[in-house]
Amino acid sequence: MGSVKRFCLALLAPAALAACAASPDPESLSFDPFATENRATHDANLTIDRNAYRPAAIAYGKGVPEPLRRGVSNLENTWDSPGYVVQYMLQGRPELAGTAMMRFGVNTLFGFGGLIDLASELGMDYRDTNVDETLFRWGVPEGGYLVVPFGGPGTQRDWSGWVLDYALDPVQLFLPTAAGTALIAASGVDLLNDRYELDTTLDELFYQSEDSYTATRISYLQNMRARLKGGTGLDLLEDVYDDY
Amino acid sequence: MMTTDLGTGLARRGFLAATALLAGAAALPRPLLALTVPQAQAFVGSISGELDRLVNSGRSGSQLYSQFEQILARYADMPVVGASVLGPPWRSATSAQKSAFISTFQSYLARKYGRQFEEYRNARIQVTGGKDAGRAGVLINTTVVRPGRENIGVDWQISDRSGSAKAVNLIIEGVSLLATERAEIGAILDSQGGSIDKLIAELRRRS
Repeated sequence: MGSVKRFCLALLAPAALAACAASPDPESLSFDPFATENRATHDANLTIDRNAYRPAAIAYGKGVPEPLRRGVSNLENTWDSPGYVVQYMLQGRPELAGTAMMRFGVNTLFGFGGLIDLASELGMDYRDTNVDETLFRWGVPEGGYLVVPFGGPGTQRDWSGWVLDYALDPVQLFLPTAAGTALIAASGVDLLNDRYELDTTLDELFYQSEDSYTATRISYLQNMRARLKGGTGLDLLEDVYDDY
Repeated sequence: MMTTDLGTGLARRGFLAATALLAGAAALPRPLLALTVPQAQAFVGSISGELDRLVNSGRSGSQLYSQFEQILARYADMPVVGASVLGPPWRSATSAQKSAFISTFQSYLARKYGRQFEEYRNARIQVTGGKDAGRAGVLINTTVVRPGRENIGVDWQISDRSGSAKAVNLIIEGVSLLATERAEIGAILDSQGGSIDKLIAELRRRS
């Protein structure tokens, strides 16, 4: 469900964000310094979702056959790989950088330019990364939870990193502008697929929850932390029998 | 590592193994009852088997939710989950309120998570690992593999502190059910002016 985060990238007006403020308790689910502003933005984003993003996603999901949607996803994932190589190297993870590079080579050369994910069939599993993960690995705290207009949930670190994701992407730097724009368009279309595939989950969070802001926030934060830490930490498990 | 291919006999064998192990363990003095990782994996394998039979049984809607609720009641320690989710108000509740809360909370959960679960047709649950978490129990990692869709990581916290193995939390893609429901139930309780009776009525309305 990296997609909950990718949902954030929808449509998108990039906002240059302030550098991360130090968080008093980065692990606390109750730390929410921008709650008031965030709630207003969250409500505005739900209006956009209800009237534009969700209907477009449902139309795309129901109108376009699954193999074609999968092809667009594969294309996006493949052409994102060079950016992953850069980030994995910055994270000091050469083996993951190697896999990302191999995936790019195999899928572009033998997978119709990236439409078919042949690399996964060959055991090279897809794993995405971004500047946020690099900053996490460097020990930068996540900062406060931050909801961005048209963008959705994130943290101060995550949204700062998002700006750099494009600035440090070799594909965007070295490919002709038209090709770069086409890839951004493909990733925009793929966001519709993410929204479509997650519809039941997001519907629950956005429209069935008593407090959809809090439900979305704690889901986002827990999901993001587990992803960065590579799974559920045993330290997060509650001893339910000792409490009551 | 054990792989449960839903619909094969593996899950049932796992269930038999778990039953045999638990039956054997029950005869021993209490401190020896500590749940091992393989036992917890077999336990999760048997829940997976039941879930698989249900999701592929052709049932849908309220029929599916009520069967789902039965599985929840059998394999999860609902009184402990409910108490933990309700938090401090649990302590001041009367025993009638407690039992009414647990039963409505259970139906509410079955409906809420049953809706998500309905999408898992043709999915396979693979047990991929497990770790002993001491007093908190055992954490079992599973992957829900769905054809043509991204895999979903589901972790199960299993504890035998009640005397037998029970699920006490589900962590879906890092998101803890206990944390999610604590926030949600807390928000409903607030909107009902802190009244447990009104909370119960509201949960009944939603389930």
